[in-house]
Amino acid sequence: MFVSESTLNFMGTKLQLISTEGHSWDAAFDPSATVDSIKRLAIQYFYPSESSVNPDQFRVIYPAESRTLTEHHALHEERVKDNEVLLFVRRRHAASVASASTAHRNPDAELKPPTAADIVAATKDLPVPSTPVKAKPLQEAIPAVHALPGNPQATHNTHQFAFDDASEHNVDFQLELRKIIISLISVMVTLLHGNPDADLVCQEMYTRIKQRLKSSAKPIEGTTFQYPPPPEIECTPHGIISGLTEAKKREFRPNMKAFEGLKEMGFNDEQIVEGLRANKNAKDAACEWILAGKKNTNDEEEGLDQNGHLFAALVSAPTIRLGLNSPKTLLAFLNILESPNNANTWLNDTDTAPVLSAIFKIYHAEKHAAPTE
Amino acid sequence: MATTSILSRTVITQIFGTEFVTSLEAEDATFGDRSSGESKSSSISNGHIHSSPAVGHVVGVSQSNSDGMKPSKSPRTSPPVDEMDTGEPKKVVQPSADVFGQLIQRQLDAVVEESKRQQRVVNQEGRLGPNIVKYDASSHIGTFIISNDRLSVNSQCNFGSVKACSCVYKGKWQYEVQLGSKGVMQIGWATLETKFSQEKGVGDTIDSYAYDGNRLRKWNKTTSPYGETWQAGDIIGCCIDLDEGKIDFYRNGKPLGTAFSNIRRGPGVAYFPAASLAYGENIVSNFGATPLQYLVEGFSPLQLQSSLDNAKTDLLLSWLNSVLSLYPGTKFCPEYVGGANNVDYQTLLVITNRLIEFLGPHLQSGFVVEQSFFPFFASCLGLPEKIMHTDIISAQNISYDKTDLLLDIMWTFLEETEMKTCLEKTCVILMNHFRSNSLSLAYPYQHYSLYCLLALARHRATRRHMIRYLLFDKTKLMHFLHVRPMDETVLKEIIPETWWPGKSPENSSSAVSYENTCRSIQQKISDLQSLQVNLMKQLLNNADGTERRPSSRALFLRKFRQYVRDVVRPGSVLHQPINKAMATFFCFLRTVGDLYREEVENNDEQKLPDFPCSMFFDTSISYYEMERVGGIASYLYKTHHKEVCQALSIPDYMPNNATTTPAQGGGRVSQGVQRGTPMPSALQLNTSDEQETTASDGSTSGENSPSPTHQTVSNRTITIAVPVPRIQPVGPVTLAPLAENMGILSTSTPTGNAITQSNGAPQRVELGITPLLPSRQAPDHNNGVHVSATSSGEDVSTPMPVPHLGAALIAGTPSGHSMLIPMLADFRNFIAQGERGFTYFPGGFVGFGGMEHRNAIQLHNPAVALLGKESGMMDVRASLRELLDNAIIIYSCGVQRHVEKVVGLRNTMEEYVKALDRANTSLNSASISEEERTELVKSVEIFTNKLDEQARHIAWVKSAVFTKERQIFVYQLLKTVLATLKSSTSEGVLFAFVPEHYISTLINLTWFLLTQMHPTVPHSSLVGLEGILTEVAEFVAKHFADTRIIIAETKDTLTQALSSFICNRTMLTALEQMPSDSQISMVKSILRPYENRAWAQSNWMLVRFWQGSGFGFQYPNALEARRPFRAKPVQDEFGISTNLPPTPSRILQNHVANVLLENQKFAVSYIHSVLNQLNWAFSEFVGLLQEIQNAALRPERVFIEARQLKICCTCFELTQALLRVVEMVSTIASPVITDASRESSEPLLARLCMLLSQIMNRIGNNTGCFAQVIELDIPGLENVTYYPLLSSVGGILVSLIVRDLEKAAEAEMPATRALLCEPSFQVESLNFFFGRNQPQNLKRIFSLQTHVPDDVSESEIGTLEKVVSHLADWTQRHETEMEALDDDSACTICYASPQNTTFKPCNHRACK
Repeated sequence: MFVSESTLNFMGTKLQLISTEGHSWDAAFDPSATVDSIKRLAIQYFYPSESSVNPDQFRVIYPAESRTLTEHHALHEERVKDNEVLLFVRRRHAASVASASTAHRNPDAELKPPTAADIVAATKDLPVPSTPVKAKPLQEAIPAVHALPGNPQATHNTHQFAFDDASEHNVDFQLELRKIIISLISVMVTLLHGNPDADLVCQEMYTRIKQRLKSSAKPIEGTTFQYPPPPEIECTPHGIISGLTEAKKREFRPNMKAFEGLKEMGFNDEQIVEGLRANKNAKDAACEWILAGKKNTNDEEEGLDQNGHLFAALVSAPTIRLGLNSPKTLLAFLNILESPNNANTWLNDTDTAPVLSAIFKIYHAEKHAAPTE
Repeated sequence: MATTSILSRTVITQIFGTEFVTSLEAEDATFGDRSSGESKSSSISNGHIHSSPAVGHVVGVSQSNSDGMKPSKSPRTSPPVDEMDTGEPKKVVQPSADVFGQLIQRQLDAVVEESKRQQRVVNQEGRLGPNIVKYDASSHIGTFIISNDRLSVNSQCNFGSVKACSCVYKGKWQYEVQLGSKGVMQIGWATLETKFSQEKGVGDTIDSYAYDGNRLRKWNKTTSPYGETWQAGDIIGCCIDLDEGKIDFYRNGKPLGTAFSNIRRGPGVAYFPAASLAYGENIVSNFGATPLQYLVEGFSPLQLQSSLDNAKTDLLLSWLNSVLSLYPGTKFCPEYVGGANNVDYQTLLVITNRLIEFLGPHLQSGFVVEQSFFPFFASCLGLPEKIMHTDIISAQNISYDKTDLLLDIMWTFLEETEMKTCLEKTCVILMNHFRSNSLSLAYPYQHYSLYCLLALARHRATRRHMIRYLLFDKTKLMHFLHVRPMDETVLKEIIPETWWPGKSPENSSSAVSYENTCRSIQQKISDLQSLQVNLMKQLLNNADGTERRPSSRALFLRKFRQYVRDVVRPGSVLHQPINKAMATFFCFLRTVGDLYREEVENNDEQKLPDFPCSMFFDTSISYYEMERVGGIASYLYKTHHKEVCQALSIPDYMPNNATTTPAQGGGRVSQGVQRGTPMPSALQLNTSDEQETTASDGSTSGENSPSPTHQTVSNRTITIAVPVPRIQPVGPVTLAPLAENMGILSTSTPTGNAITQSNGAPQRVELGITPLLPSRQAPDHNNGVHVSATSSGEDVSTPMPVPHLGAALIAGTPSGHSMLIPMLADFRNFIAQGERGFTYFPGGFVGFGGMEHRNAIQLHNPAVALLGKESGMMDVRASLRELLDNAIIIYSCGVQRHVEKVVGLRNTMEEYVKALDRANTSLNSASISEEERTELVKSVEIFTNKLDEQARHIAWVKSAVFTKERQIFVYQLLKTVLATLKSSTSEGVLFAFVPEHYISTLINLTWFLLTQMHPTVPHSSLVGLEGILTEVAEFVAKHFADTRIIIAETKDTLTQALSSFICNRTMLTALEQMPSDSQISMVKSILRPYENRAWAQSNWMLVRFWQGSGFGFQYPNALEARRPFRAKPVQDEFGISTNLPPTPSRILQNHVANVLLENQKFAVSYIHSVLNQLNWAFSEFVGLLQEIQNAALRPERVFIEARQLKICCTCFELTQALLRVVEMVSTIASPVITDASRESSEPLLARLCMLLSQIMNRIGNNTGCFAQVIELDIPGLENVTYYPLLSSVGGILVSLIVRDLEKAAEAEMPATRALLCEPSFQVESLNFFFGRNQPQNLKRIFSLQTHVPDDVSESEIGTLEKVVSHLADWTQRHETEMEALDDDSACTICYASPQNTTFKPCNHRACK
């Protein structure tokens, strides 16, 4: 504790305390005096008239060791040396920190984003741009907004037109992949010209396709319809593709229920089979199709537009280009055309995986590409 | 006046100017009064205070005791008596007016006014929403990890979108995004109406606009090419100009052009910042909370930021700057002339305090810190305040004195929390700087932030704070140890000329210039890396400890160890792949190397410290529960306590009565708890090596532990049994550091006091952990986890639910997984809070329940206990060892993955080189059409471009990733690890303590040098590599069947390693060079009979010894290589169908032969086991084939399970491999089988003949299921063909029969006779080899002839022909013989051979 110098007379630790304001107080303290008690005395000395100050508002800094003394420690515990300076400074409490900084408390409450109504209110006086790109819907929008202020639906409805073609993007990926593969194969035909391995691949696929075509040379089960004998196919990638198409066509099995239904309507077997095939076994659609007298004229599958972006992007991607040089890719492609289920096998194959994933990636990147650029 | 101001006028003038002093004089009486004596007594020159002590005591003498004790110090300068109020302090009524403070405040206000006047008030108009802009956590689509400040988002779904909470509708606005990854992201603006979905993100709808630098596109419903490829670390500026109606993007301040114009504006239209991210992509956005890095002229950040705080801060900092220069000798405290009583010095202190008082609150704002404080700090360091991409940071002007002083001052005068916040923000800024992409090799941002970091790390208090709280928690040290590769465009600039093998000769000009570029890049990067090493060295300062506090090095190691425990170690709760593992690993290595040289060796030789093998069990380094090769540490300490103590020369720590028997397993757990009682509430986790359930645990511990504390009501033990199916590293270890928290956890269960040890079982149910340990469990599954927690029972009210603890502990189990995620945050807290308690446990924890051993060992083993982790300096060697050990852990936890990536790049490049080559060759051939030419030219162009790009990347790899310097480090580390392991293995049972990852590291490092760094850095220059490789090979060969190795992982690692060694020519040579006794013992281990063990790998090794020597087994052009168009099977583990070129080893074959020939009994049992497995594998295979055939024959299309196909293939390959081994044995050790004089050879031969006949019958015809399945061409079964099986069978036949060809009598031809006697032998099946008797309508007609010359040679076929005709010949003779044989004399069992044996005593007869 603080001991009066009168009793100790030069025995204590002599210290100089300096206040925040730059005032100084020399005093001697018993080494066992706690920092806390020194603070109390210092308050009495420096701020005698201020009743509101209390020790918690201050701390004692020991500059020689650049640290703050711990409240409940005695001077000797803190190893304060004789004739040293102590700074008696005000603490800044967390509260003062918060108010001074720009940080706001309770940020969640303030983070509510503006609602549509807020936006409408804030923007109602904005001028309509003189040359709006989408002038028409905008002009429609304005009355709608005024009529139903605050209703997000109001503004939303006016853009409905913009979403109409959404389904257009929702094309069947399988179909697209076939197209891609077919056009890539046509490049491969050129690149792999004369490659013995590629010929071997063709040979292998060719025998397989022939087998498939051969086995379909029976009347379709439950009908009297029979396809004409299969055309002779060439042992080239293109020949194989057309063979595949043919085989696929022949392997179509009509839904017998639909078939019977149509049969009762008086169509002949061939018409019905063709109709159901063209309409994926949808009976009513097939019926209309037959009545309209359509024909499955074009079974040949087509590739991509050779001048399109997608094609250009695909054939100039290095990974794909590298793949196009490999007979194995040709096998993979033909195999996938044979059955899309095979795609997984080839995606797991370390040789073909890079090509296939590059195709997927480029397809997804390019599918929304602007038509003119 | 009660007190007098001591402020020195001169000092104030120097800092604030005369005007300030005048005002001060005018307003503060105390100041004015003493101003007269001031100027005379103190003189300041050159920025230093030469103070006179006399003046120092001017005023401020304590009033209360003035008369009694005040020494009359200096009569000359003693203030006037009237100033010295004589009254008691209590009586002083005059308030000490804070004129000084008010003056400063006034000046600040003036600055504010001024800047307000200068700057137009920030235009609020045009924006809507909260002032603080963050991502709107309520409106996102998809799953995100959003940071607490809601500025950084990390997508956890395939395509998720998020938008900010404020929008703009007028004016010009900007925000910035720093990319954390470089994948598919669409970043831009969207209106409120745009509805996102999992498919549609920003830019996919009308009225939303985005840029994607991954796909180089801009998006607004449709997309078109735009912008540059972005890299992680890029800062993308997104600007919207609603006055003009356009949107622009910037990359690192570089404009990418107007992306969209004429965007919709007007009533109802307002744009929000928005982003859509693919899985795993992450960004940090800056809407203006901190200054934008590249603010575009005329645009405003979205978040309004008052610049007034900055103006004030700037003024304060400018004053502070003057203050700093006035400190004598730029030192804060120590031996200033005149001591503490110097007035000028005191004035400085007071003024500093006043400035900091004003500054402190401002330093809490990230914006101010970045805008004002950080540049100030940098300028104190001698760095420019702001740097540009084109800058070059040089170390010339850097002086750390001022920053040391500044930090001293800040630590002294700032409140602790303020200082910490400020430092945290500073570190974040540094990290952002560091992570930004460099546009030049000078790496300005990286140098800049490393120098700043160095300045921080130099300062003792700051360094310690950073180690404790920042570098492993908030910002990761690892980020600073990495050097980010250059971006594509920059690489293009700095590597103008590329080269790759095949482009031009190696001495061509382009090759030379390429090499030179690589060297210069290497130089630049090496500079940066040296800085990083310096930083590490600073952080590893070992001199700043005192008797009460550990050195920074100890702190660092402790924190890093914790980081390892919590994050790096696989199996820990918070496990994630370590960031920048490769860079960190090499930085650690280099640091260890440097420190070792400086502190231990004192020479220039590059060396790493060695590990004494006692390190693994003397507890000086804690491995937590990382697996040891012999099992779990706690188990090992119990089992091998005698040996451990003997090795460490300490008394036994295990009490005699606690001998280990399985029944007492539970009791030991509880003992662990008791021993832990010095810690009032310690959590002990114990992996029990037995399978006791908790109930028995309770009862045993109750009986065996008469400890009073244990039975008091306040100390309870709760035992939770947690199932950890199949998991080897058991659960997380969070031990005593969590002490405080665990008390809470265990006492707050709903049942509270009712929990006792004996009702552990019902308790488990209440905790909701239902899948309990089964009561009966196979004894070899040691996967139970017992959690025992004693607690003092006072914290019952704390509502921390126990299931959380459970959830944390069952990490990795299917049931626990879902509970785990919400747990993480809590768990982090535990760890953070537990850290304080950690100091009591140097060296960490040995493992579950290992505490008592650890304590005991450390108590008795001063060598370990006094390593200086607690106080003072750390033992240098020990510390470096631990650091190196950390490097090994980092290596084993993440480097391999990065290495493989790099190697992958190199491999793809090779493919392109080949493809380019081919294309060029075709172009040069005469006969190509125009169309082909066009395509080929296009190919060449594409490949050349790609190769250019790759060559640049490889240049980077050569100069920054796989460098010579690093190679040497790897080599040294390999030697160290090898030496350690070799010495450990001589320690007997204590070898079991070796951590598992040491073994895998040994092997990985070997491959790293041999196949991964090589050929980028050729290994030919390494001195003594061959010898080291032989030693590695010897170690692996010796230990792959070491019984001391218990855990399956290591066994696997070693077996795999040996197999891969055998496949690699270099390593095989190493194996062949090791001492022959090692070789023989290895061969013996491989040849252990195939019963009750994993034999497939051993078998495969034998196949590899043989491949290249067998019949039709030369594969000069491997079969697979000639069929490039086959789908590869996903993986062939044991098969022969790998593409590896054959590496037959005559030496090892000889050893195999000798081993077999020397010990007939062993050989017979071995061959029998092989035949057993062959029988099994082949019947499995045929069975599966039949199933597949049945499935395929069904009329409807049946989908055959891929798994079934896989198993079928595997069985096929096993059959093939086993056949090859039989072939090898029958070729090189034929007497074992065919020498009738040898014991048991006859039945063996008969059995072999039976098996061969069976196989030939099944395969060698066109009607069996084999032929039919092959006809089906089932994808996945491509490898199942005739050739592999038939050629091996042919090989065996040749090896058996070839000796018989010369002989004339059947009696001399044991093999021929055995075969002929085999009832199932059909000579027709032999014809199949040559394609005879095969119907011509099949797709595949097998004939060995078609495999000439690729697989089989003519001479081999010739031999086989001879063998077959020999057999056919003898069959005929045999048949004639048999015909002659009447039915009576035929064996009544087989009816094929004559009865020539009589059974005694019954006299029944049968064939032999």
